[in-house]
Amino acid sequence: MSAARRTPLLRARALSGGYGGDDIVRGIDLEVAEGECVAVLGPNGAGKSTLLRLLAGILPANTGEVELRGRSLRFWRRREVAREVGLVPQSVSFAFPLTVAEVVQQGRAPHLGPWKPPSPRDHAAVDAAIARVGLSGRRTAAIQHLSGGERQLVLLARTLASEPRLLLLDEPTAALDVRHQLEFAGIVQQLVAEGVGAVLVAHDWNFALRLAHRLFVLHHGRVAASGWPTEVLRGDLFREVFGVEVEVLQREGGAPTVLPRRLAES
Amino acid sequence: MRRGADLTLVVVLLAAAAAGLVFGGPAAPPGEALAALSGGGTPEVRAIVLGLRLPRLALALFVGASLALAGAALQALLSNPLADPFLLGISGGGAAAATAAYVLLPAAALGAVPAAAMVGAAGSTALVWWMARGPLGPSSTRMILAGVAVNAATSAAILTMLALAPSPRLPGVIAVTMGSLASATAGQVAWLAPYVVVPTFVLLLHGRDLGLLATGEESAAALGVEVVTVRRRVFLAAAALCGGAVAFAGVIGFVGLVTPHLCRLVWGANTRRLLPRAALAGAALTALGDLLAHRVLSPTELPVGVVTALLGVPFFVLLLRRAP
Amino acid sequence: MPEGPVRRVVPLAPDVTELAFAVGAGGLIVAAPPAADFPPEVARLPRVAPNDAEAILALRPDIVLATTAGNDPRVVQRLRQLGTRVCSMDVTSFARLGDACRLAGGVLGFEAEGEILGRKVDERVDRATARALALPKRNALYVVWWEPLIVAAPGTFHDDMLRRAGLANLAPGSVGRYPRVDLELLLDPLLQVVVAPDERDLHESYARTIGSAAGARLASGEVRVFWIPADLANRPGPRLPGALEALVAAREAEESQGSEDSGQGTRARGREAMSAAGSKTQSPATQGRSR
Repeated sequence: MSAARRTPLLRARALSGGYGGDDIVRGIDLEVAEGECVAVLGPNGAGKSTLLRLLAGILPANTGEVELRGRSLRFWRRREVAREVGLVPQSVSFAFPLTVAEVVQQGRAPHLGPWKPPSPRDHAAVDAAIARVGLSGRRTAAIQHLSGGERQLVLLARTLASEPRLLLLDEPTAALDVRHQLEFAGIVQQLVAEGVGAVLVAHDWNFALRLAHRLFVLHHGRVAASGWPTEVLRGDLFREVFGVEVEVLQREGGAPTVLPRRLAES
Repeated sequence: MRRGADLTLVVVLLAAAAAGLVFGGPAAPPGEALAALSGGGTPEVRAIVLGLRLPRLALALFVGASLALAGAALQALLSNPLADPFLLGISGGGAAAATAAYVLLPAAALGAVPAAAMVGAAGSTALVWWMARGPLGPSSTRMILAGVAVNAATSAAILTMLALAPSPRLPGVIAVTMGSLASATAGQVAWLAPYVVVPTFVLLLHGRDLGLLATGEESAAALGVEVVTVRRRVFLAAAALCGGAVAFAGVIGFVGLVTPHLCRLVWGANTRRLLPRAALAGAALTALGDLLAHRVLSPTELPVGVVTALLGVPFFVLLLRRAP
Repeated sequence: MPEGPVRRVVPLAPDVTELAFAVGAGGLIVAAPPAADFPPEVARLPRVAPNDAEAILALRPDIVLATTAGNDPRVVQRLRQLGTRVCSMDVTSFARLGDACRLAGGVLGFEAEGEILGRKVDERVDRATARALALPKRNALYVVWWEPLIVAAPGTFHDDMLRRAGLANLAPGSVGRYPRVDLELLLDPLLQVVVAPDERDLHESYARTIGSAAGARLASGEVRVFWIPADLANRPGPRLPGALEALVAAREAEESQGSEDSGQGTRARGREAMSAAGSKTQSPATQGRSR
């Protein structure tokens, strides 16, 4: 897949932003196209989640721009953005007991007015989203009774119910077991193959490498490296940014694997 | 089951309303009261039923709906099952202002007490909002903490005033702090109506948004909710509803907290569906509570807040044990 | 408990303050409660809060006068434990008023004055009560506050006053001494008389009540309202007989006016007076309204 063919869905230009007027991320240039998955990696506190929120538009940029379909987010209304971009958060606390179906139903909100009840089209989108994450049999289960992994799948379904063209995923598998991690990865892969763009914030290199076409590495709020995995996966990057010595294993026809060896000599 | 529940709610509400009009003192016994409702009856009985009981019932319905609706909205807004207009200090300000007015004003000016209560509620709302502000606007956690602080302060102020109040004014002050619908007039109901109708409209408008906010402000924003705007509107609407309730009925403390929970047990936690049902349930509960408050030990009147608490708790326990 | 000449007296309530002055012991009072306002000499006295045990002790009283009608019994107990002589008076009924006067005179060293005062008080009460016997019995309420409606229940001196004035108290006896009651009680067909203290606050709220649906029977005159001097009726002190006398006098005036006058409003009252006085005829005004 050549970059020229794909239209950029989301573009960040010299983006700086943070909480309360301070800048946590600085000077970020980033692009995501349809059918492309970009992974954002970096040590704790590098600003990955902040970047994601800036890209989603729920945190306003201090300087620079985020452009969705060529138009700055400043000129987009929240609901319009929500119809295009879906953010899957790390976790959500449910203060009140909701069923799986009710939670996923919430994902249709960007398409519904305040007084309109959901139409058959909306119900179809909800059912499709639940089916895609494989939870059709648990539609009426209370969300409190689901395991962590299942809950994360429900959150994904909720985001999918709004039928976004771009997915923003904030460490979605941080608390999941291996099985659910693979399930999740499989679903995202399928979506990307269908033309949905994705920005994935992850800690886990190997999970990210499974899905990502391109990588961004953040360090102290700036881009330390970006590009194809072959370009980014270099020993000195890991040494500088993460302070560890790693071994990168390349396999035929598969994603590379990163093996941490030991702490780097300082 | 849900359709049946809706019907039951409407029936209970209508029955509570009818009972409030039909049962009362011996001057208008139930038979004659019924006659008055259908157009007949003596002028005296009609005056009692329509001039005394009807405003009182209307006030009870308005106040109950307001408190329950505000409670449900605040619980969703703050993602906190314990959120309650009284916990958040909104009514504390209203009650403190009303108490101060009652103690300080000359008797001729006592009609200004409801206005004082409204101002007080607005003041404590503003105070809570100001105390809770942070870089991204007021956060839910800070709002709860600020509300608890303001509540403590206003409670202390009220207790101080109670201790220093001249004894003739004491009954009025107690009526404010323990809730009383006894002095309801048609004029009061008319005054209160906009403070009920407009905020109710605002809250119902944002029913879906509130449901999303209940799962967190970030995920709500990601799904298209203008969090800052909605939060401000909902808080103001809830404050207006409670300010109005305290202004004309004093502090009736249990309805706003428990009615939404009772409704969730029956209709589920979908906020958009919950809000209108919570309003109707709150109206019915308060009307029934007021009826019991002035009939059970007739002619002695109990404070209506005590009765709503006594009514709500066993009902709540019953439903909790039935729920899966 | 130290006995001996009493030179320093501290009363803890307005009623016992008045009592002390009335037996002639006013000069012995070293401090008075803030609410005391009679007789005028009280204005010159320093004040002490009735529940501030420390401040009371600091005044080194020889005797403290307390009333059962309002002083905190725990403070009284505390003072006694600390060795202070406390005399607790019950002035909540007319029958005990004379005894209270005698008791006050005795403990303050003015036995003779106490005896005279007690006798005078008893005489006034008995005379007023006797006069009231000639009046027709009516059903009444003593209203302490109109909004919300608060009345005096059986067991209070207000209730005692009503009964001695020939009025039956319609207030419920079950809950508290001054219960809050349903406004519809004012519309009870059995109610004939309302007695209230003559204060501006009450007149203002009365004006509102009489204009509302609840005040219909008050407005039409079916229920007669008697306003009695507030400073006599609001506290159970030695001037209390004055309140009873005022009420009886007002009733007498109203009865004589009713029998002379032949106007429409008063005819209705006259008819009700006859029916309430025990006659078996049902007047049209009360027919069909049996409880």
